[in-house]
Amino acid sequence: MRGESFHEGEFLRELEAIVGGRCSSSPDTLRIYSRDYWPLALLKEVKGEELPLPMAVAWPESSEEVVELVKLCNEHEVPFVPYAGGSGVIGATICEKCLVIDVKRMNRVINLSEEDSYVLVESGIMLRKLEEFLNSKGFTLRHFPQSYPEAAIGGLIATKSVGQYSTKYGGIEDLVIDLEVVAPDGGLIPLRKNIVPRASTGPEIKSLLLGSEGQLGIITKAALKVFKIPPFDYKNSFAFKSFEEALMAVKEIVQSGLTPAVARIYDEDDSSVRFGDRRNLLILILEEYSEPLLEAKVSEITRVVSRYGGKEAGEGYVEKWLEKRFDVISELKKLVVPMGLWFETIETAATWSNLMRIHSKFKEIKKMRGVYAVLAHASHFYEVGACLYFTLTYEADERVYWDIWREAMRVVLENGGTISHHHGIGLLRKEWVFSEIGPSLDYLRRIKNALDPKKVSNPGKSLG
Amino acid sequence: MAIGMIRAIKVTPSLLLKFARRKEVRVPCIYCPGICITSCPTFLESGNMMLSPLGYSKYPEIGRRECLKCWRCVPECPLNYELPETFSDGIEVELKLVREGAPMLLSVEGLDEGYASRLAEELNAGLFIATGLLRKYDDGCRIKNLSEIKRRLKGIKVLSLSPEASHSLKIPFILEAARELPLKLEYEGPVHIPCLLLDRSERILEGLKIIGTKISGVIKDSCLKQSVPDALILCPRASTGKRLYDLLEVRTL
Repeated sequence: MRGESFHEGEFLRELEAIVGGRCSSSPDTLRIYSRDYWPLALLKEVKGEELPLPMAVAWPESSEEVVELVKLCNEHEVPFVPYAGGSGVIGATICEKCLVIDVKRMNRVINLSEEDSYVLVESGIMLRKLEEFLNSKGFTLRHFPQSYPEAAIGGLIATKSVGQYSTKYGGIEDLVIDLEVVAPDGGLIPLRKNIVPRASTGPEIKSLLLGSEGQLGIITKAALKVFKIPPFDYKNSFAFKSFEEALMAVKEIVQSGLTPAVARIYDEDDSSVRFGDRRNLLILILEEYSEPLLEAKVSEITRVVSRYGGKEAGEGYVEKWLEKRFDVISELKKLVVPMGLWFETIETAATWSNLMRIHSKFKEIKKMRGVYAVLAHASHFYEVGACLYFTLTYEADERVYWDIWREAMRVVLENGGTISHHHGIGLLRKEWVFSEIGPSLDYLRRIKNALDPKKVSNPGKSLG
Repeated sequence: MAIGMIRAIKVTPSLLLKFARRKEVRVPCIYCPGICITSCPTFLESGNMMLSPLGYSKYPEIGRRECLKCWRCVPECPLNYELPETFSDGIEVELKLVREGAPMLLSVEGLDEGYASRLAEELNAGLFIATGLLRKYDDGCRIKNLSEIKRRLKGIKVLSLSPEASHSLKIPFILEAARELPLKLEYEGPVHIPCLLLDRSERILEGLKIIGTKISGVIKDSCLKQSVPDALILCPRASTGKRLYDLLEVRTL
């Protein structure tokens, strides 16, 4: 990529001057930044394999510094990758010999408009810190992905994240009002001159950046919708004879406008592992601003659930889920890793007519050599369908890993599902993107080529 | 393991063999995305993953040097894994009896002995001095003879004068026993709750009220090893600021 005249020492000196010494090229630091939370990269690391190392890491403190860094990368034709919480699971931040631009020192809340219910933040703010700040003012982002404790806002936008309460409050794309972005060539794309709830002013940069995974520049600021903390809630769980009946119940609930904040249907295997109850369990949380409205919805939902054979199973399962919902380490530590096994989560989304077929065909992956468990739940519901989320346990072996992925992608693509509902593409899924979106991938690549003529913005991923 | 759970798993001879040969995970942080990370003061200040529990667990020598040993990460961990005590070799703590009395105050050598000795006299209380204990919070190590120390203190009314002693030996901080002691403190303003005593905030605030302070605000999200806020300070480590140890008086009965 870079010309023969490239001199790493000179690049590093200029880098240091831009960020006032807030950078590092020490091998230990490069190793820490050599991966995100992609299970395969983690597996390679624990097996002692060296991952591709970046060239340096910089911690800018302002959009202006990011501009200078990106311009420097363009000048020297050094690739760069933005880095926020590092909690992604797809290897999107793995970028050999690149400059890692870690935005976490850009972590200010610039403005909370209580009157207009939005907040303007720098992209490096940790999600949990933002939520705590909003809560102290009576507001909430209501965005709780499993990575809530360790994710930062910029990464969530770049991944196109959803949270566990998305059925009511939407994915991150529904929360982003506007973005400030440093383009791949170092130009600053500012926020709009106004914050408006919606505008028909042509295509929007924010739509391009949502899910861009660092390939189209660096998100530096975000204006996000916030909500007043809902004062009334209802929690309950219901057991169904079949996964399908539970799905049909939630379909009717969602399509009747009874939208819960959280709805999660665990199949028998997932329920037995997580709750010690081998029934298809539906977990429900409703949140409202009016008690009579909540009561009316609960009454209607109870009627729907009962019609599909759902039996009340109590609040205990909801509380247990709430307690454990960000805990990704306990089972790994107690059972999976000690037994020489490994883990993966694969999420898809499909329309209602395809969900059951995908569920049953995907579960057959358990028959594959080296695979020991395939647990499934449905979460994130929409009028037209839902997300299916599979948790797999298998032999800690890279060949088994890729066998699983090839089969999983075949199953979802042949049965009308997407290759990813919210984890993204990164290095992991890039070979399957064309199979899903077809020639539009070429048009997206043309957009990247136009914005990134030097091919420095997180290269080697789905957009080239 | 429950029957239902077993049915969720494909049980094969090789899986059973793996179960029989399973090995304990020593450092769980290696497998974790960083559930505790937002509680770490050095991470929050720097934005640097290296200066976080993820970096410290991978490079214990950096943890020994850079981690503040504030223990804020531990309650955030679903496993309550005590990462800060893994950076150095374990230590033996010795308890020296300086004077008999009731209650017994417990001071930490190198931290609060001068003040503790004076207060013990004024309260007519006894005094232990724990030697070596400070290393747990300076170098990051475990106390090898902790159960022995706890056995020795069992059945004795012991109060600590430092967050370090309260935290490591699980004994009440002096303000938690304010109702039973003739203490007074004329102070009006905010208070800083030490990292090691965050789980005792309510009892400490109650104690401060009992001894006559008027607390106008509570600062919980900063570590004194980084900066000393303009507030009442409960850590004897702080060399500046409005220290409890300089302001606390014993009421004459």
